[in-house]
This record gives sequence, C-alpha cells and structure tokens, in this order.
Amino acid sequence: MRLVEALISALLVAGLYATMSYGLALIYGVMKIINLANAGVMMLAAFTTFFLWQSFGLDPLVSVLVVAPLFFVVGALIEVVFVRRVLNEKPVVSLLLLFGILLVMQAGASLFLGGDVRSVRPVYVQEVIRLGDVVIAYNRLLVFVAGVIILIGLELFLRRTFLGRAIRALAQDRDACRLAGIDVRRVSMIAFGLGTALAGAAGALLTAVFPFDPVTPYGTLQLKSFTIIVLGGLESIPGIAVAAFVLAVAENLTVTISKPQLENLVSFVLLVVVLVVMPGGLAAIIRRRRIA
Amino acid sequence: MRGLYAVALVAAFVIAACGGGSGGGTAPSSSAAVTVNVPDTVKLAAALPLTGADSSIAKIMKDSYELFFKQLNDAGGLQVGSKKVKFDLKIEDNKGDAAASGQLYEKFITQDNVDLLLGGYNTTIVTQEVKVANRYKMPYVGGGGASSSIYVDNVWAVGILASIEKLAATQLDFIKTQQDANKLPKPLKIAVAYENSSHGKEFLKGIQDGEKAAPDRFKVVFNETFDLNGRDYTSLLNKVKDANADAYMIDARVADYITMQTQYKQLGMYHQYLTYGPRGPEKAARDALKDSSDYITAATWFDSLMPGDNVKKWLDTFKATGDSPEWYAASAWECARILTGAIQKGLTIDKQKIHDILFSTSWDGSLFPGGSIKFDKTGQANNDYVMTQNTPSGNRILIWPKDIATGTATMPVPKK
Repeated sequence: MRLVEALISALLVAGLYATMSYGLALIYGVMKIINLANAGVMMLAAFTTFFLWQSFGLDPLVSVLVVAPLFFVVGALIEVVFVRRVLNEKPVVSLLLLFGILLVMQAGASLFLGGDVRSVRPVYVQEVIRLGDVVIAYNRLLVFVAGVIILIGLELFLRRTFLGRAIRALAQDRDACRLAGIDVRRVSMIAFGLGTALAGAAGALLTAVFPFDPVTPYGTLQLKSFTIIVLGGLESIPGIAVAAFVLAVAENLTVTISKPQLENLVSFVLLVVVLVVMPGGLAAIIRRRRIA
Repeated sequence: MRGLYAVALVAAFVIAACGGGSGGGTAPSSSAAVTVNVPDTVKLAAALPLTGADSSIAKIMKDSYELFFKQLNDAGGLQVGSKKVKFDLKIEDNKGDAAASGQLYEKFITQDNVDLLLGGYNTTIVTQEVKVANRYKMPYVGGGGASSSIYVDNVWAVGILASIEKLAATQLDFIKTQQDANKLPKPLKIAVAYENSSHGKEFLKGIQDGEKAAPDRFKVVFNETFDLNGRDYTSLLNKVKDANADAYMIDARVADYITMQTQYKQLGMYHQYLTYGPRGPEKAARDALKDSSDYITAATWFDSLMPGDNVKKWLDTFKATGDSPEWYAASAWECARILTGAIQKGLTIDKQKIHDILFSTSWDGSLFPGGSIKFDKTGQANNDYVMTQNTPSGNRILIWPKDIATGTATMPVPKK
C-alpha cells in the first residue's frame, strides 16, 4: 500500500515540479540562457497571490489568471531592458545578469515585504480525498490538475498557433528565422515574457501547497527545476513532464525504502549523473531511438 | 552649656554615621565613590534576525528591549547609587545568519565600544554570539537560545532559558500523570522528529533519557531529523505514519511548525498526544493554522496566562508595543532587567564585577516560573517550564504545573 501511495504522491509532486520548470525550459529553448531569476519571479508571484488572497479572497488557482499576464509584462520588460543587451555575449554574462536580477528581487522583497514566511490558506487547504488507505491532499491534486492544463495549453499554443510555431522555429535556428522574415527580437521578447508568465503561474499555484519567503524562494524546490530541465533535455516541454515524474518517483521510492533526508540528495545526484552520462537528457535518448 | 555642646557633638556624629544630610557633604558615601566608573550613558547592543524566517519573533524581542530602555530613559535613567544612568541601545539585523551575528557582536565590542551585551535569537546564532562574548570577555545576557551546547566552555554569558532536555523531561512528567489517569496508554509509543541542530538533538536525548528511566511508560518507536526552513515534510510524515505511534513529539521552529502541521493534517494523520516542543500557542501560528492547531501541547519558558503580580504588571506595560506577549517578549524583558539590575547592584560596568554579580545573584521579581532566575556554573538558568494546550477558537489553557493550571488537559487529543 505504501508503494501505491508513494507512486500517487510522486505523480502529484511531478505536477508541481513540471509547473515550476516549463518557464525555464521555454526560455532556454528559445534564447539559450538559463533564467536564474526564475526563482525570484516565482517568489514575487507568490507574494502577489498572497496579497490577492488576503485583500480580495481570491483563490490561488483563480489568481493564476491575474498573475500570469502580469508577469508576462514583467518578463517582456526584463528581456527588453536587460537580457537583449547581453544576448550576444558569452553565456556567463547572461547567467550573472539574471543572477543579479534574482538578488535584487530577493533583497527588494525582503526590504519592502518583510522576511516572514507566508502561506496562503484557501478553505480546502486541509481537505483530503480518501481512496481506501490512500490519502490525497486536495490542494496537491488541484495544483497537479492545473499543471496538466498548463502543459496541454502550452503544447497546443506552441504547435497550433503561428506565434507558437515561430517560437519553436526560433529554438531550432535563429538565423533561418531571420531569413524567413520572422521578427526575432519581438518573438524573443514574447518567449521570455511567456517563460516568465509560466514561472509566475507556478509561483501562484505553489502558494496553495507550500509556504514561501523572500530569502529562500521555494528553497531546494527551485534547484530541482534545474535537474528536471537537464533530465528532460533542456528544450522539450513533454520531456519536462516526463523528467518531473522520473525525479518525483526516484525521490519517493528512495524515501519509502530509506530515510527522508535523502530526498533532496536524489535530485542533485541525478543532476550530476545526467550531465555526465546523458547530457542531452531523456529527449536525446528518445530522439536517438527514433532515428535508430 | 557644656552638656548642650556634648549632646550636639554626639548628634552630629550619629547623623554623619547614618549618612544623613543633603548632598555635597564632606564625607562622600562609598556608593558615590564607585559610581564614578559608570558613565552617564551606558552603551548596550544586540543583534536580532530582523529579516528572514524569524523576523516576527525578532521584531517582538526588539520591541521588548526598546520599551524597557525607553521607560528607563524617560524616567530620567536607572538609579545607580547616587547617579541616574541612561542607556543607549543599539540593535542591528543579523539576517538570521550565525556568522553575520558573530561579526556584528565583534563590531559592537571593537568598533562601537559598547559596555555590555544583550542576546539575540535562535540556538545556532546565539552559540556564535556567546563565542564572541567569551573571546572578548564581555558579559552577555541572552534569552533566545536554550540548547545546553551554547554554554559548553562558557564563562562570560548567561542565558535565561532552561535547557531543551529539561523541556522534554517536563513533557514526559506531564504524560506520566495522563497515563496514571488512564488517558494515555502505557507504554506510550512515541515518534520523534527533531530539527537538525543541537536544539533538536537535545530534545531527542531528553525523550530517550525518559525512556531509559521508565521503559514501562515510554517507547521511542521512530526518530528522525529534518532540515530547518523546509517546505515539504510529507516524506517525513509518511514515515511517521508508518511508525504507528501513539504520540508524535516534534522539536521545531515556528515557521516549520506551521508548515509541518498543515501537511500533517493534509495527510489525515492523528496522534493521541501531539507537541512541537516549545511551539504551539504562538499567535502567528494560531492565526495561520486556525483549528488545525487545536489540542497541541507545548512546554514553554513563560506564558502570559501565568499568575502573579509581576506578570500582570508586565502585561499592562507591554501592551504599549501592540505585540502579542509571547515568551520571547518576556525573555527579552528579563534579559534587560537582569543586566541593568547587575549594573545597579554592582554600581559599576566593570566587566569582571558584572560577570560575578550575574552569576552570584538570584534574580528575584522574575516573570519566569518560580519568580526568580539563578544561573548555574555553566551560565544557564534552570527554571521550570509551564505547559499549555491549545483549545478551540484560538484559546489555550495552562495545564502544568498543576498548581497554576487554568484547565484540565484534553487527552487523548480528540479525533475531531
């Protein structure tokens, strides 16, 4: 029974992990930069959700509809004002720039919002669904469903719309896009904005499950996103979903048969192993099989 | 006439011997001679985690320190012998970082030239502060760290919080009474989760010592550490669930208590006895957790429900801050009271003399249980704990010790 419970728990946690990682993967795919400010965006989105909940009683799931567009604008501004200027520099420059933006976000939030740990507690925060001996937390289930909806919506957008196809094309060949008449600067801005909106949506959804503070935005959860995008193949949205599930299962099984403290260690060991053994991640393995 | 002179002469000697007469006399009292060493303004300092996970607690401690010294200064200063002495209190933010706090205390001593030190908050940080106080041989009065490890090889610091092992032992003493009343099973199967710090380890040790002393009453069936400031405790909680314990005893900080208790409820868990060590009745936690924190039991160093004139008077005074009168507010107040008391008693700010007075005096008139604080040779106080149980609608009752209990504990915890 514990095994069944562990697998269900892994599935729900995978939804959370995937939601946190979509934005990172999208921005890396299009612009080939690691958005270290992702954690800061999630934290600011969490605070926005918190204030919407506190002031208007807006449920975190509903507030995604407000937070995501708001952070799309924030992301687009960051791209235009900062990222665009360093895009042709060495990768370390954009990495440091976005790390700097993260630190500014953390320090600013800490200064103006205080360092307290906050939590959003919608009415269903303690509701559970019992399936025999298996107990499923309602809020985790809802966040999982929301994560799946976002995944489907993102895939449909990227595959069925002109703009989505332009973003995918940009991820494949920037110069070819220019030759094809795609406004590369505009699409890059939209892609960065979209990635930031996804991080914002994740920040809003996570408030329904985890407390947050400006100093350690979602703690090690954010670091796990890096494991997931490396494992998923950096640019593949479905790869992210699979990688999130693989990581969550690995963590849950390890904890079930061993000690809870090993949970985070699994993630970071996996990151090292994937980088050394299969740098292209799961997506590369799938591609290789298709070719064979 | 000669007789009259003789009477006048005797009277003059008697008056002089009794120290009578107005100031400015030719024979200064001994106290006036010593107060020469006390400056008009005594400089004190403390570092607190004003930003970060413990910022709410730090803010209340800061308010308590500041109110104490504001009242003293507004009244013209502390009467030290024949002199009124004012206080200049400097409080800086250590951001919840132990190394940063150590550096701040070093700065207080070497650059700001403060005269004496007041303590910060949280065991890890206080440990660092006490090391600095000892390195510079500077008296330090702290009320924000309870781990006995703080006071290993300590000479110059005193801490007013009794040890964590005693906290665990107090809870087990209370449980014994519930077992004897057939409210809790014997032996009680206990699952222990503790923060990964000396604070947490001492909590576990206290319970394990209790188990060794009374194996017929207590059986620890599970024990595990967890990291501070965690976000997801479901893995740990699932393990606790599998342990099938009767009691779940956790040692956690307020933020971790809120997170873990939320997830505990989300997993549909239940134990006949549930405690987060010293946490439970804090207003911030009760506001966040609402009825999810009902029936949680806590052992703390002070509770505002305690009887006594000192407590009543302090509660009236402390209202001015608008803060909830939590144990750490009382603790900060007590630190300030004891340190200024030492200056007043010693008529000096000489470090060695203040140290000797701190260690040798019974600090009566205390807000803490027993009404008096006495430091042992390690520098740590050993006052009793009070125990509370949260009750519905955000209320709580005192349940231990029996003589000050304001209600009867609900044991086992209702299943809802």
